[in-house]
Amino acid sequence: MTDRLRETWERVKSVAQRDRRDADFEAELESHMALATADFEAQGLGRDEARRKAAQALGGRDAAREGHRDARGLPWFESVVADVRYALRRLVKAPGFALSVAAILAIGIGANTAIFSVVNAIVLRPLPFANADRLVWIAPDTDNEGQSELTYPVAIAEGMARGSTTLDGLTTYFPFYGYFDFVLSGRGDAERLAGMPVGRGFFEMLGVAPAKGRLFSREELQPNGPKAMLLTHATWQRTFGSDPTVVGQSVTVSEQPYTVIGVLPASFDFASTFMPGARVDMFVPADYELLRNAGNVFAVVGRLKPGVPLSAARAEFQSLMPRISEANAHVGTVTARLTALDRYVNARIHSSLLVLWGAVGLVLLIACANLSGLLLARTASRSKEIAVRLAIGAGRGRIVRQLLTESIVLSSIGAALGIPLAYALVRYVKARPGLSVPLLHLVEIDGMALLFTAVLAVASSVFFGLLPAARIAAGDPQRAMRSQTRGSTQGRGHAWLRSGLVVVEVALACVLLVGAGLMLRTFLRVQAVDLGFAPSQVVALRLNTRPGMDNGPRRVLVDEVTRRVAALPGVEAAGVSDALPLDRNRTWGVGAPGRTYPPGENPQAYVYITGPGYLRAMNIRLREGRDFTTADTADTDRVAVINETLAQSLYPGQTAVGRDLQNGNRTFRIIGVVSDVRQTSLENGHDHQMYFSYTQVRDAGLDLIVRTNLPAATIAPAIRRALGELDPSLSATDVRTLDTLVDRAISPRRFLVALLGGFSLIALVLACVGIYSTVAFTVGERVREFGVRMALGASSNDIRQHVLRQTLLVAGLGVAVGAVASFLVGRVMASLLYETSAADVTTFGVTALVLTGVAALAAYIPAMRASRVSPMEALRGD
Amino acid sequence: MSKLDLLQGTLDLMVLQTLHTLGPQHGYGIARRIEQISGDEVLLNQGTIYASLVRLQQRGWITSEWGTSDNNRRAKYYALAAPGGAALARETAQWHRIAGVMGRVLGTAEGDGK
Repeated sequence: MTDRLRETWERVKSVAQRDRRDADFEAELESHMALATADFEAQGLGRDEARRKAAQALGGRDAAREGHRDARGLPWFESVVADVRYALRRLVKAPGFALSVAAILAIGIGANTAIFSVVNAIVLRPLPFANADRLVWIAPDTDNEGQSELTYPVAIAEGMARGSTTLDGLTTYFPFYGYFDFVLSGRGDAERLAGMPVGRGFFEMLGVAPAKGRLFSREELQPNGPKAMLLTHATWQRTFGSDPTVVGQSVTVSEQPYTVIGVLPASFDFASTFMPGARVDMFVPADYELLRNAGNVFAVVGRLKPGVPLSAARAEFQSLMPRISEANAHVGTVTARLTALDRYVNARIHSSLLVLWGAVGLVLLIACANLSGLLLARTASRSKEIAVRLAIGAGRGRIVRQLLTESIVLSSIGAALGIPLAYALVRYVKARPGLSVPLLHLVEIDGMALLFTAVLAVASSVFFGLLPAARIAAGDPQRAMRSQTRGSTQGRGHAWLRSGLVVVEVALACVLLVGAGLMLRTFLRVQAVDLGFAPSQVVALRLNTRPGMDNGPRRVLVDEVTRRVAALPGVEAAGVSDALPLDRNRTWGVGAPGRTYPPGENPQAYVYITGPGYLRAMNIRLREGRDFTTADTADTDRVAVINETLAQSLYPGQTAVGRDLQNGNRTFRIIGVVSDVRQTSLENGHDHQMYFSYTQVRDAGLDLIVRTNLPAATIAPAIRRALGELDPSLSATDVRTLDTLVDRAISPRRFLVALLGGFSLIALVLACVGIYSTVAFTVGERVREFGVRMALGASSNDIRQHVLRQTLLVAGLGVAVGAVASFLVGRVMASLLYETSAADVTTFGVTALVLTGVAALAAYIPAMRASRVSPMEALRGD
Repeated sequence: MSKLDLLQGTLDLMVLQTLHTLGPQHGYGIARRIEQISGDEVLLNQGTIYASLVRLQQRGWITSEWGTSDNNRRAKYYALAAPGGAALARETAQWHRIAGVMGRVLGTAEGDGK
């Protein structure tokens, strides 16, 4: 074995020292000749005769050199190197060709590498947690998207942890942000820190170790335990200036001392994984006793025991959940749907990414078809050279290898140029502000992506290189030498193949264009959705009142804040709300008094705790009845405003205003009915929604909503000033415009449309280039034929139309094939479409028009050239 | 008459044996010796000896050094190295075994035919 190793090493060494070894062997051959000549001279031959005999005995020197090299080196490797050198020399001779091919490939491969990195980080790679493949998301079995309907009461979560034998861990967090927000004061401007309460063993189960300090202790997780908080790395850097001494210190938030026990690692991005778009600045222990009677509070994550499949846990929960429900009769029937955590995290983006991946793959395929056509045209002009090489004894395999080497060299150059392009694309995607895509922070061009690029480069070179190579090597050398001489027409086979490639290109471009078109139409439909409120010119600010303030004085204060802010110059209307559309949400049970609902079918409605002015500030249309007024106080009747869908559902066909609604054991008088508002997403309408007054129902932290014609940056300081004059303990943080909320909701679609649009544009350009080069080449080849035709009486118009007609025929065939393929692809994409049919006539029609138009455009210049052929010159040519 | 087609590695074995017999020798000398002993039946061209020499050298079985011949000419001299000696013994034994087996098999086959 070591002999083998030594021999290989020696071979590698002699390849590296090739020139020196050659010189040495040259000297040895000379010495051999000298010795042999001397021997023959000693036998009495003349000097010249002796030398001739010696050379004869030695044999061919070239053969000896070749044999020596092969015996000492790596013949296979050296011939590859020779091929690469040859290919490079040829490419240097045709820099325009080489550059355009490399550029086309760079775009195709770069885009593929970038999208692969995105797909890899979000879909393929395991979540950045310990035992990620064992983590499961446990939520009630419902398709509703309200946060309250995807969470469990404390007792149920405890019941699952106790009762399950397939899980070896279960933890919780409290996903209703706003309830555990803290105001950090005493460090410059007041700052709100969004706190996330997490259950026992949360970080331990995910395998997240603190970057500094420690995790929550058993005591801190007890009800009423010592107050402790863990900072996210970003908060530690931003708010605490990366001060390492802050760990272990006590910090006053919302006028309560909390000990900063640690800082989480930068790699842990809770929001990006569990609640894309949300903000989490710090973690606090969830107080199970505090939340025990607060209804649905916990999102639940479990961990399977090693070796236990998800199906086993599902089966167990089938029988476990009814038992837990029974033991907790007061919460009603609870169900559970278990999903692998990674599936849950990327569920929303999964199909979009696969579509993108497919699209970018199509771009590369089009690029390959394009290059195949280019190479075919180029090799056609080389067929004579190849024929000569075949004639003097080169093997066909050897020639295919040489041609493939050229392709691989080209695509390696393309890949090398594509990698920086991929970096740029990934940077661009990651830098999109407000793009709510999970795990986006993990996207990077890693070794896996580079490996993918390499595979892609080789695969595509085979893809676009094999056809021309095989084609040319299969050719009959005699025919190749004969054709291209005077008076012959070029072999039909090539023309046929090239047309075939154009059909493929057009068909692929058609699929891409239709896909992008469908997504664009969906995007426009989603953007045109009636949100039920008017987001433009609305600014929201978090209103932080002094913690521990009594309800009475707080209501008076909020009332006064609303009044004063509404009176500011430039402000049209102002109000407060503790939930905003397309932002955080929660649902409560609701019903018509006296009506009983079958178990599990109790209606739920999104809850907004607001006050006078909110509906006007949001421009939510009042259909019937009235808005809240300052006369609705803690001492008057409980009142509610509901949306049309809830009114329909509570009192079908009747007037809801003046009637009552039931929430738990509270009854509210319905005073108004308003239009539906999109809450969880732009696409989902017709939810139940109800509005209560902050004077009568406890809120979860209020946002001040201001409709103003001033920019947010101007109005925010004015509002802060007004608040400061009223009560110095008040602060307004987190300035957001409602437009940003809408933007965030639509951002994944915009991301998809922008990328798909970009890819189809590239595809269109590639198809255009492909058609142009093919037609131009064909025309060049048929110049003589056109000359004859014109000599026989065809007009230049005839020739032009002939070329255009042929091109359009090929393009039309491509469109037809593409349309069928698009129809099938559209059906796969159906889940991504919104109010758009997968067979949308407009999209298909426009695509067909665009493609034929592009084909006509691409064929126009060569067609013109064909029509200007001078018959005399064409016939004389060569 | 046509030269003998040599089995892969046979020439290597002849080179080793030649060096074992003659001691350090240059490529031309080795080639001449093989031609003489074989009665010009092997070695189509003397040049082919060098592929064998470089192969053996890279395997570590022989060493080489530029030196001066008896009649004062520069030449590259090859000499058997220790592993080469061992290999020669091994390969020779192997060769005898093969030759013996082949002889027996072919001899038997002839006998059956009669």
